[in-house]
Amino acid sequence: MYGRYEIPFEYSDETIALSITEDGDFFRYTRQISGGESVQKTLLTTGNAIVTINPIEPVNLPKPVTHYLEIEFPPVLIEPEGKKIVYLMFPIEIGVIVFGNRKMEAVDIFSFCPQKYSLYGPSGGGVITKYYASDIFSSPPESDRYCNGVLRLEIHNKTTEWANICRTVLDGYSMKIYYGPYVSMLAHMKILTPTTAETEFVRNPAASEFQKAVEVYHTLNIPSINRTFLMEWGY
Amino acid sequence: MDANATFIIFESPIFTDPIYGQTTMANILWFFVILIIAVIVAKIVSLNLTRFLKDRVRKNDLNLISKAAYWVIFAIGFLTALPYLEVDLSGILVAGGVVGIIIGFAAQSVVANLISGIFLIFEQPLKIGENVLIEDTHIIVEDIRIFSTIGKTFEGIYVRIPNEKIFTTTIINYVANTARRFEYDVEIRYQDDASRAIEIIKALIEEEPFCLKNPGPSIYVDELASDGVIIKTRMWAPSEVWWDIRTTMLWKIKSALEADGMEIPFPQRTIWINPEERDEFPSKILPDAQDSGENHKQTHICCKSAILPNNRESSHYSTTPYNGPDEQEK
Repeated sequence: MYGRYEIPFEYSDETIALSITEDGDFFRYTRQISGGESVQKTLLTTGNAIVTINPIEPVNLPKPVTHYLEIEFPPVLIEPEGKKIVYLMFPIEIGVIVFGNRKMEAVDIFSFCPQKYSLYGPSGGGVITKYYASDIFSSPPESDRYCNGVLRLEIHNKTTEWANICRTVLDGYSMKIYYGPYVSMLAHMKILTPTTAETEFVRNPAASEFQKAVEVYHTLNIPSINRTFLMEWGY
Repeated sequence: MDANATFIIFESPIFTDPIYGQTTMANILWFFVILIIAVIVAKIVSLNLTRFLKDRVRKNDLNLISKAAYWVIFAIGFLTALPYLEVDLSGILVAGGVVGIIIGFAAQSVVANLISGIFLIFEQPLKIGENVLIEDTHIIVEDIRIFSTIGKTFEGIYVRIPNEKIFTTTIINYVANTARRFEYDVEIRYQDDASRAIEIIKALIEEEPFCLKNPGPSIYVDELASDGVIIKTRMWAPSEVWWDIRTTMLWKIKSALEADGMEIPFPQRTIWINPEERDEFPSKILPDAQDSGENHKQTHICCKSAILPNNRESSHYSTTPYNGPDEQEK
C-alpha cells in the first residue's frame, strides 16, 4: 500500500480498498476498510496530482488535539552514565497525501490501531499526549507494518544515579518516520536529572533500504537544528 | 584634534556669546542633542515594545501602545531640553498639573481600563478563543482590546466587558488547563450487580480515545440510595474536547448497561395492603351523593413504611360509623 501513485489509481488487499477514480471532471477518492464505513471525497484537480500513501505522525486521530506521542513501557533501570538501545512499538496512522503544484494536503488519515490519549504532567501546564503502551525489546520486534512501527530508542543516563524509566514523550513536529520491511523511527532520550529527560529524533533510517515518509507536521527545515522535547514531569 | 583644541572650540565666542537673552549656541546645541537622544530612545523602546507585544495584542492596540510610548519618551526628552532655551518650566508644570488633575478626574475610568488592559495583556488570565466565566457572564473570548474585552455568549450575543471589571473580578477559565474532569452519577437497581456495572463502564472508558489514560478514571459505588445503587463515574478529558465527550459518554454507559440487562431504576414506593386488617377493623360507611341510602365500603390501606402500632385500641384506628352530612354534631 505504501508508495507513490499517479491518479487515477486503485489499490486493494484483504483489509482495505483505496482508489481515486475519474468521474467526469472530478476525481473521487474512496477508502473502504473491511467491516467499516466507506469514506469518499472529491478532488478538483487537473489530473497531474501525485498521491503518496505512507505512515505519518501518529497524532491525528480521531481528531488532532496534540502533537506529542507518549509510549509507556514496563519499567527499566539504567545504570549511572549508562547508554543502552531499546526497541519499542508505536502506533501507525496512514496518510493519503496528494501533491499538486508543489503543495501537499492530507486527503485522508486512517489507522488500524486503537486510539488513546493521556496527560503528561499536571492538568495545568502538562501536555496531552497520544498514548501507546508497548513492551520493551532488545532487538527490532516483529510488527505489522500497517498497524505498529518500531522505535529504536537510545537511552543515555547522564546522571550519576540509577534511573527508573517507564515512558518516553516525543514531539510530533520533529518525527522522522521511515518505511521499508517495517515502519521505523530512531530517537534519543537523555536522562538529565532524576526528574527530567530530553528526547529528540534522529534523521537517519534504520537501514539504507528504508524510505523517508512524507511528514504532515512541518517545522522550519534547518538541518543543523534538531527540535527536542524536555520531559520535565518525570519519566 | 586633541582635547585642548576641542575645549578651545567650545570656549570660543561662537558658542559662549548669547544669541538671545542668555541663550547661547551651546545651549541650542544641547537642546537638539537631548531631543535627538530622546527620539532614538523612543524609537528603540517603541520598536521593542512592538516586537514583544506582536503576538499578544491586536494590531490597532499595538499601534496605539507603541505610539503612546514613543510620544511619552519624546515629551520627557523635550521637557528636559527646554530649560536650555531659557524657558521657565515652573509655569507650564503648574498649568499642566492643574489640567492633569482635571483630566485625571474626568478620565478616571478610562485610565483604569487602560491600565487594567495593559496588565491583562501581560498577565494573560484569558486568551482569544477561550471559554470563560467573568462574574455571571459566560463567554467565548473574541478579542482583548486595550480598554475592553469582547466576547460572545453561547447564544451568539455580543458582550463587551470593560477591562477594569475583568481585572478586579473573579475569572473562571474553563480551558486554561490542559485537561479537566467530569463525573456522572449512574444509578442501577438493587438486584443488579454493581461490580459488573463498574466493569462495563471501565471498558467503555478504556475504549473511548479521549477519556484519558492518565489521570485514570475513578468508578465506585458511592451511595445506597432510596431507589437504587449510585455508581460515581469520574473521568478526565482534554479541555478542547471535554464537552463532546461529556455529552456522548453518558448515553453510551446507559446503553451498555441496558444491553447487559441492567436498568436505571425509577423512583418507587412499595404499598403494602394488609388483608387481615380488613376483617379486624370495621369498614367506614361512606355517603353516596346519588343515593344516600346505599353505603359503600372503604378498603383500609397501609403504607409498608408506616408500621402499625401493636396497640390496636389506639383512638387513631378506632372508626365510627358515619351516617351522612345531616347527622347532628355530637
